[in-house]
Amino acid sequence: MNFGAVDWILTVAYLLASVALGIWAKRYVENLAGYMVAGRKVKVSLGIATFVATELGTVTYVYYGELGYVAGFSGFIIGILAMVAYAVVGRTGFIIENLRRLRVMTIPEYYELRYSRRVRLLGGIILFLGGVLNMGIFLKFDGIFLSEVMGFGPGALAIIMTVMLLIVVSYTVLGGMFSIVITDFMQFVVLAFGMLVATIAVLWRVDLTSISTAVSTTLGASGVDPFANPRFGWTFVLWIFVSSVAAGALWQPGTSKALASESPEVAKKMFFWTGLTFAGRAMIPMFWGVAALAFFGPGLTSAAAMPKLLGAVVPPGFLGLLVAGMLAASMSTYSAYLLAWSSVLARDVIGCTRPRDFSESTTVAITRFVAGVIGVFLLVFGLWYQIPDTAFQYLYVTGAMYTSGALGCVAAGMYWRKANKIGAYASLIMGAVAPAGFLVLEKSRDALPAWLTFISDVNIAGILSFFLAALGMIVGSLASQRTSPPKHLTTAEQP
Amino acid sequence: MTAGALFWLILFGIAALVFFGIALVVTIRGVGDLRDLLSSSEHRVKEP
Repeated sequence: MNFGAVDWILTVAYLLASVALGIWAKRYVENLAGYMVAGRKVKVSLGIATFVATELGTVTYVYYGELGYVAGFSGFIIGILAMVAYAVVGRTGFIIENLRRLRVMTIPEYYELRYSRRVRLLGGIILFLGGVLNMGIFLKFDGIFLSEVMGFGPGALAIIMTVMLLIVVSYTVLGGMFSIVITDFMQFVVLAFGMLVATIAVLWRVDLTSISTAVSTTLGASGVDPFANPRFGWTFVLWIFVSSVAAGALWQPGTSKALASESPEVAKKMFFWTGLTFAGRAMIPMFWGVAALAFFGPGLTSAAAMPKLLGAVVPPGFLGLLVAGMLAASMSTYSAYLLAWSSVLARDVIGCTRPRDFSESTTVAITRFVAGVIGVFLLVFGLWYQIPDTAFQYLYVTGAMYTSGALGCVAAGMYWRKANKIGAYASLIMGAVAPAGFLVLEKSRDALPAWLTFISDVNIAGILSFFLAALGMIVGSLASQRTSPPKHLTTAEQP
Repeated sequence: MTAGALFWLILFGIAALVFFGIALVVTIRGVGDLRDLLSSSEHRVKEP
């Protein structure tokens, strides 16, 4: 076991502080807007902290660390692509500015304003399914990370992760976005410090020359050139860039930070500056993964190599800080995702099965209940499901189930006057087909007929989803202009 | 060290500096933002 008494004290103290702070924040929740978007009063620096904390979970470190271990430096291009995509969204205000002006709380709400209530229902269902499937593997990867870093067996860690999930569910259910923003700030500070400690420890024990030698010896040109690496290539680069723009503008847990911001201008600044951190968000854990390749050599379980390195090089005492940082990262991610997906199910799915919305208090009650149910699902799914390909690609392909159709619907809805509800239906459905096909058919890759094997390539399934969604929107809208004239926002609804 | 590795390590260094630099600024300025958020919310809760 790598954990000493000081490490335990730091970790337990941190967990207790998180719970106390999260539950204390409940006093600020006055209404639905308070619960879901913190009263729309979040300023730039606090917004950046909560955004980065949401987008950096332990699972993020593990999947990027895994990519560093198996692909060397060539995976670093993902950080560059994400940075450019988010910074462009922030600088231009692409989608987020209008969404914030419209004062919506979830993205499917826009579908009702621009298309119809039924489009909102379908969009809500796809968003919820894609989002919860995406989140389903978080717990498993957190377990891998902590079991290797702390030196426990996986059995004990399943219990620790259960406790952690219960803590997050409790304060998310009670305090909503207020709890998330307040705890995220503390978690951001702790996780950034934990990352700094880990990076210094890795640089201290593994020299850069041996890292370079390990990459060239083990991976050759594919370790430094993403276009020569069979795991990546042009299809991958194009998919990840488009996907990062779509996720930047339309991934509910992240976009909700723009919706909670004080103004559209604050939302744009928040996205721009957060975007600049995204190169480091990817490259720092990937660097730890590449260092693990140099330290241990190839042959380890890819997802476990980087955590094993941190367990070996971070000194006792600091290990507690690192684990607190990782717990911080996970808790902030879980809480934001739980609120995002439970809000969508309550408002955009359950609420849309009725002609009129539920009252605010009923919506908050349903959201709280759903957040608890999702927590139970995470435990069951995370421990049972075997992910295809790398965790990074699984997360992007499940995300594409929703983001491809959403990009088609929202971008066309805002910037193309001919977009109508038929195009929206086609975009949402066709965008979900390729990723869903990949997730189902990948399990029986060998039994597929030759003409269908392309769908078992995660990169092709990912980029295809965006192409099909755009095609669905354009063809569906143009073919039905007479039968379904486009609905435009009323003057009162205009941003 | 190969040229490819050197290229990515330089980019990594810049990315890490930007990340930790923004983290430092946000940590300092975020305290004020958090105080504003809580005080404005507390004020509204107390209004009749």
